[in-house]
Amino acid sequence: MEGRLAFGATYAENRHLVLEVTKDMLAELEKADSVFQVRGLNKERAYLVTKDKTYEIQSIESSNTQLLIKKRDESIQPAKRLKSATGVPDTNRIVIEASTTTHMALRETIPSIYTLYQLLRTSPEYSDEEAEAGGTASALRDVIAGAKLYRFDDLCDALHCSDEELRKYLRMLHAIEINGFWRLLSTAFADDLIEFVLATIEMNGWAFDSVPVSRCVEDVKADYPAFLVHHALRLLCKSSSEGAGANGNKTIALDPAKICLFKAELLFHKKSTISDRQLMNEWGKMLPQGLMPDRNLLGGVAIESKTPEGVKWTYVTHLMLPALAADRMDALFELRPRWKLEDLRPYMECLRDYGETLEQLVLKHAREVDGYCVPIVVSGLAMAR
Amino acid sequence: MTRVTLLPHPDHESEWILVELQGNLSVRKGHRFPENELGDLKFVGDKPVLRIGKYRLDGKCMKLNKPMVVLDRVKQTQDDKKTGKARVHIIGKIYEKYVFAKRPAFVLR
Repeated sequence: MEGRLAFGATYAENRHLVLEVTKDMLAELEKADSVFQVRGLNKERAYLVTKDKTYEIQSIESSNTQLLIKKRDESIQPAKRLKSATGVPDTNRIVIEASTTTHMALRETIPSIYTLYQLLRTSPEYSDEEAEAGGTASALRDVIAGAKLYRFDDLCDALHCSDEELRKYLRMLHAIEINGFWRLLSTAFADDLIEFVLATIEMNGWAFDSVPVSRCVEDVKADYPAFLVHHALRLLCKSSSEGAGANGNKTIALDPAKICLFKAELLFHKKSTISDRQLMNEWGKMLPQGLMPDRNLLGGVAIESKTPEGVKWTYVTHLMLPALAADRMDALFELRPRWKLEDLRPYMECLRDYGETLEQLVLKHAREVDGYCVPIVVSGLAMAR
Repeated sequence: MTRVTLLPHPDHESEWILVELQGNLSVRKGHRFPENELGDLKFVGDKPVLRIGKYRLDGKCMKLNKPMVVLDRVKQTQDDKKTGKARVHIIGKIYEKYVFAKRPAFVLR
């Protein structure tokens, strides 16, 4: 591209913004359903969200001047190219449209599920009282007048994350949308609901891998409205059949592992620390025929520790722990002095930064000894320094 | 809270170039940038050369590690202001830049 560089009629400094993107994002732009949105503009940081990713926007300043020039279309005949102010065709004029000294760069981030959890906890949990009022919009107003409630867009704005990431986190937190607002169910209410649905399935002799959704809703409707039954089935179903519960004519396949885990958590809700023998005994009795208790399912739900009285299990989920990595590691080491890296995964995975491995995160706050992660201990000599 | 949506303009496929110069550009008092000329750009082999007045700047072409997009602000409508929305058009893509980082050489002719 050769020619005479000239400032265009509409030239201005910072007339245009320049944003650094990835090649994937350029390809995404071409799609009809592409989403590129900037959120959090009024806050300290702004974020660019696509359909399923979140990027922090960073402004990069330079002492250099960058001129923005649109490449000339060499196929256009010279006489038809842009003319100068005198109206005389300028056959080799290169127009400078704008200049800038900054550009915006993107850093992919992982939004925090704990921020979402804390937000949802500021809303009243859905409980028996509200359910008895019928779960309607008017019941909602009566029961929780003045409470803070969040719609999907409110949560997106608060988290500055993509829609898909938010939906994934809402599923992980077992949140439910009621009259347009996202809420958590109280533990006691959720336990009763799921127990009732499971008992209904067993009483009717329906196989777990093909539960007829509409019949299940019909059988339970005297006690729980349809939207709650659908929610319970979604919590228990296999990933591949999630969402199938919305259509009443379909069957849904329940995940045996989720049923087993639910029953274990029921036990832990009554008694947070339990001996291994008592756990396996009582857990086995609670399970439907054909299902067996399995300690391997308890990763991220309960922590095994060896005591003089024998092996004990303590109910600890990742939501019960501090949200900051350093504090969380301290809390985990209080519960158990040595951890295998894979045992830490369900507790630390959600705190990883984008691009950071679990090992990198953990070793910021622990050290490795003989294949175990142990606390970093400052020696007496180091402290004396 | 304002949400800004980035939308591809019909012209978003057009390719742009960044020309990077050290320092700032300024114009004489009483003059404006628009419709003024900066200088001549030509290539010697594959290297760009910029001639500004009596000075020659030798540069190089650099492919960007990550492509960039050029954004143009769209004026908010009344509806946009009420709903807290704004739009920005993506009007082009940048894959390379010409960097002039060497000290300018004085050229008599």
